[in-house]
Amino acid sequence: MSEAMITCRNLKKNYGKQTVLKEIDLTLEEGKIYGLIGRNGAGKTTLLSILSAQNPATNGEIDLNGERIWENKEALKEICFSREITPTSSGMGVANYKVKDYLRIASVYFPYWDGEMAKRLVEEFGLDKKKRMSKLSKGMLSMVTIIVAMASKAKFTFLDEPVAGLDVVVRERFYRLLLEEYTETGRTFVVSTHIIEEAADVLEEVIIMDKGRILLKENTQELLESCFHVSGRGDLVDEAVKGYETHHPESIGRSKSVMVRTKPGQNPPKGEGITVQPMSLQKVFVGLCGEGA
Amino acid sequence: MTQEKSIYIQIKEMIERDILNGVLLEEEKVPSTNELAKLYAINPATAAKGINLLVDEGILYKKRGIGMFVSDGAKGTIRKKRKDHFFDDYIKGMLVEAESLGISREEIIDMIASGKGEESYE
Amino acid sequence: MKKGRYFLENIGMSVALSVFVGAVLVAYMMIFQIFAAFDKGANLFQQFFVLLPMMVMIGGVLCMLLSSYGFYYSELPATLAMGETRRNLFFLEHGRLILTSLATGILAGLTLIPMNGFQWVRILSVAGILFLVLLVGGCIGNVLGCLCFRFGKWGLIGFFLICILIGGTFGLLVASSRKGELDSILTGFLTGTGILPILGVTALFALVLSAAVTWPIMKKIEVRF
Repeated sequence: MSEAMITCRNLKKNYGKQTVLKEIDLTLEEGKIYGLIGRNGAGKTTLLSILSAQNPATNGEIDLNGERIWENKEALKEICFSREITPTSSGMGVANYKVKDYLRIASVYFPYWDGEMAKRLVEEFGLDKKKRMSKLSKGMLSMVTIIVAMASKAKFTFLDEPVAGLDVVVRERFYRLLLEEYTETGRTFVVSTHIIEEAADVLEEVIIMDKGRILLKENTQELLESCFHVSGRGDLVDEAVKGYETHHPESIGRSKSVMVRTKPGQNPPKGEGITVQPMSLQKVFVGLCGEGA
Repeated sequence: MTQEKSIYIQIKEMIERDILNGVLLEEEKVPSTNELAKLYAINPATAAKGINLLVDEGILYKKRGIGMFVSDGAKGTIRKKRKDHFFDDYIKGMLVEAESLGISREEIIDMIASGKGEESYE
Repeated sequence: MKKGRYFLENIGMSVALSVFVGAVLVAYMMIFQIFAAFDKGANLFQQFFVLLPMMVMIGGVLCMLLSSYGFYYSELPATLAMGETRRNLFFLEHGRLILTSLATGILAGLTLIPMNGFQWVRILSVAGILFLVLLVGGCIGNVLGCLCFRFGKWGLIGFFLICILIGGTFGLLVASSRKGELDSILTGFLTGTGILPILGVTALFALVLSAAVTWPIMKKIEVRF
């Protein structure tokens, strides 16, 4: 196949006795913006780390175009996982680097690095290149990771919570930047985020993780078209949703609401006295992974 | 019954509205999917979905290498389509609501005839 | 090619730091003519100055210990995250240890020339001792940094256990041999002969230890920011 893709089969990751990732089968295609959504501890960062060979898997291999990426210089040139930078209390760590030094390391390792773009973004975000990253605010650190991700021009770019600490104006700027870069280059992006609703429009496909497994991987629009919020009187709702996949039922008094997910070809539930509404991506996620799902 | 619509449906309807209102003329070029994506901050694939629906319905057509254009007679196509769906889209829901409130059909007809609300809707 | 320049800069800075330390050490030796003083059976005051350069050398070793720490906590995670391989980093770190120690030793030895002339034996001994001691120190630091990064607190404990084990073995060997051995070792140290082969073996051992301990850990090391 001429199209590039990253694949993994039956991926498993243990930390000691704890299994953090189980039976992950995943294919990331060229030229898409994926969203990676999951609760804290679902395994998103671990998955991204393994998909970029930053951490080894306990079981299973990651391939890029059929070639193993582990310790594979050539393959790793095409993959960029711009991690969250956290200042450590001991003062030792990657946060010890100055912004310009960190960017310089990136420029050395990413063969397609766009120095001009990095420079422009540093100016636009108002970052002081000479400052040590440990002295930067959370928002500014996010900006640094965004700059590395964008300027790397890597074919497959992963971002872990890129908008953490950013105010809404900068967040909107990020989504536009992401789209601009995507439309211009067709790079694949995987963006993990907790701010689901904002990002929903930008994501072509969404990958939902829960407790170390991939719950679903679907085209965002198709997923949203298959999910409905059904509410009304308890017995009427129960009648209407017979035969449907349901999640997250909630009751107050006589009324009840439940999330319904239709199978391909299945029509949305119908019935007297019930209200059937579409759901936002955030509500779908909470329905599938929230309390009482 | 549905209140929100998928984005690509919204894009589709926006373009249809523009065609009906003469903002987009027949044989004129419509914005590309990338332009739409940037304008509304959505994924180009989603914008493309909306455009493709319009192509399937014959409202837009593709000129290879140049872009998407409004078909000849698109305005008429859209009008007819919307007219055909008018009952389902607007009247059905109204009737259901009226029934739950106990408003008879005659009362509705009276309301329409007297243009209740006084403002004129263009 | 950019990468080559980056690494050369990196190594260059390490060498420069160690050479600076070595230069301070040599400056002391030059200023106080330590060798001459010691040969005359100097008094306590002068003997203090004999020990001082040794402390500077220990300082140099500590520098290398810290630089290994920096390697594991900053450079390794950052470069691994950008796509470097663990194998490259393993060889790079050991290469840097060897090159830095060597450069420092050679430069220190060369600075003896204006003072003592072309006494190659003395120069080579000083250079050799410095090189080997710094190498041993660097390797120990490498093991320490690696164990700490991988195992945290337990790494530190494990490291000390290793040190006690090795130190204890050597101590027992020395103690079980002739009584005056330690004195003659120190004398040999300062006059620059006799200690070299022992140091050489120690350095080789240290290198092997460093490689043997760090590679199994490096092979699967995880990126931690």
